[in-house]
Amino acid sequence: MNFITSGPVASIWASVLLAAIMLIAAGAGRRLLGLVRIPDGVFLPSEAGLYSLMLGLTSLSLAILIIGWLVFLNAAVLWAVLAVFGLLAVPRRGTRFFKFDFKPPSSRLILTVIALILFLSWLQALAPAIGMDALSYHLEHPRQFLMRHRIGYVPYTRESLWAYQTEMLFTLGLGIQGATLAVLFHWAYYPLTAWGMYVLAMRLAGPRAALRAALFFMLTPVAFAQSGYAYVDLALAFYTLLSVNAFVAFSQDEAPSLALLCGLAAGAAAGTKYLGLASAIVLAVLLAVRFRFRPGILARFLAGCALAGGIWYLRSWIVIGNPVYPFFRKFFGSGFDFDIAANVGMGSGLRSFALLLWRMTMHPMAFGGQMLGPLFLLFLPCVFLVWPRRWTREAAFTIVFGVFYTFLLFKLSQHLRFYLSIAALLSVGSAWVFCRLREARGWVAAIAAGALAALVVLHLGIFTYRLRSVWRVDAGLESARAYLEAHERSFRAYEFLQERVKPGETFFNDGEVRYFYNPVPGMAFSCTPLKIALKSRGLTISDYVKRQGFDYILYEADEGGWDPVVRELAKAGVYRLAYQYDFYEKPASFHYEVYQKVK
Amino acid sequence: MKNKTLQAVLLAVWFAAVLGWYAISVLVPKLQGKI
Repeated sequence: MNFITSGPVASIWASVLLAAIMLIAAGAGRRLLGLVRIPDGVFLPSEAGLYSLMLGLTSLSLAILIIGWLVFLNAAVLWAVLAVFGLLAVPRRGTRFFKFDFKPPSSRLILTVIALILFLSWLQALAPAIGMDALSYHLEHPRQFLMRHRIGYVPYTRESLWAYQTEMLFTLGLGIQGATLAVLFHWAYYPLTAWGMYVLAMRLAGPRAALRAALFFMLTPVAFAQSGYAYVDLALAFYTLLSVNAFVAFSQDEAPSLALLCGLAAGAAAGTKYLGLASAIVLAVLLAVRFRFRPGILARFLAGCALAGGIWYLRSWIVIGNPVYPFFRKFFGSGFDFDIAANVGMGSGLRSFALLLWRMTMHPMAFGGQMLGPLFLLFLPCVFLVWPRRWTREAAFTIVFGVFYTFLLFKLSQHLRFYLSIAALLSVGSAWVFCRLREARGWVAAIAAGALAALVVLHLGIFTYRLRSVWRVDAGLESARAYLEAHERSFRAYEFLQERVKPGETFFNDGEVRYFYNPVPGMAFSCTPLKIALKSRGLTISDYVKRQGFDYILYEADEGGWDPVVRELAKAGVYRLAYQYDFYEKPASFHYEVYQKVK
Repeated sequence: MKNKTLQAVLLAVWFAAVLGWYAISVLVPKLQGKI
């Protein structure tokens, strides 16, 4: 089961399914939103639809988790879950899904640019799945859940008990269609986050800034790049943004049910990635300060968090004794030391924090290789030219949230993609500054407009350039296999194994962490949890490999830190080199060797 | 800031500096395949 799908027919089918599932989720979510009891007149146009979708997608993910945890998981069960949600989604007469408010005169041009970016990103997302973390676990573990017919702990993995809300959607996508639908689920969070931008900016800065904020976010290269991978960072940005928006709405309207909604969104963020916990903590502190430590408010917020995201932490605690495995080993007793900040970032002091925006813009390779683009650095510092007479309380709280959350992320890890929710907030700020510059008229307005026009052209060029390798496979002129042979470093090794390995033969993967295209059931792999388990029995990986006598071993020769036991065994005549190849993936080259046991 | 001309000059200088620096440190190396 490798779930490879590509070409026009698969792409259109996956896109139709995505649209149908989004409508079903929004419809079912609208019922759930009714239970939250938000008073009439609190929501802006389109906000109810957005929160309905948030609740629908969250509850759909939770339903898949619970059903996959308890019963036999397969495609029929997933279709049945969708059918139940479909019944819940049947609209009542007179309900409106959402309404946009596009009054500014230039909105048609902005909408056209947004639509073009969306189309380019959709083309990008239709290519066969690649990406380090996607193939290592975001897609691999849903594949394992489907092959094992159960959602649970995958032995010796670091991640399979993490907060997997978005991975439940990937499970659904793989189960009912294939990898195309799974990737499209993450792609969908790209326009959804832009929509979230729109409503937050509408609340903080008015309609002119709102549409520009959405455009600015869509123009961010890291957001565009992420929308083509089955990662979860855009989903995290979406839920984080909705929690901030609910906080702002609560601060403006003080309807207590908004504290619950804020908690539900923060819980959905925490259910998407552990980093969501950081934003929930900052929001809890801000709620306490803003509402003078009223216990009822905090209780509603925490109840929302627990309801939407608590189950992931409970699950990990029940199964492995640590709610945030493998972190905090000393505190919980299980887990291991693992540094998510390793090899990225530029310093961790206050000076580095102050220079973070400049450095992230100008030194992309130091922050994970993806580009933030110059837009925020261009416009945000211009706030000093258009400084307002007074800041609204909500704007001040949003800025405080942004600074503290950025600081927490900065201390935890400096991977640029983890900062997508911050990029979203920066989009609101930049859009507001841009609108103020335009209001100044004369040369100031002309220079601001000229700079934005140049950036739009530049970014559209960058986005189009990114598509140079995918349009042939999207159009069906290149097969998925040919595409993956050229663009995915692990694929040729797995293709070789698919042809050679007979039923019942065993395979040990010593060094390639991208497992998604592995065709051999029950593959054993070298990893920290295995090494810890072996160490507790006084064994090493070498001992393990010698004792197990695997039929095939995949060895990545340039990967640091792995035990090259296989070469030792090959010299001793136990194994022979059956296949090897080199692969260049910017900025490194890789050398793969597949060894076969000598019979 | 009330002086519109000064505002425009500052804006133009800042934009030119950021875009120029960005072109040199990111775009050119990217096009050359160095990053």
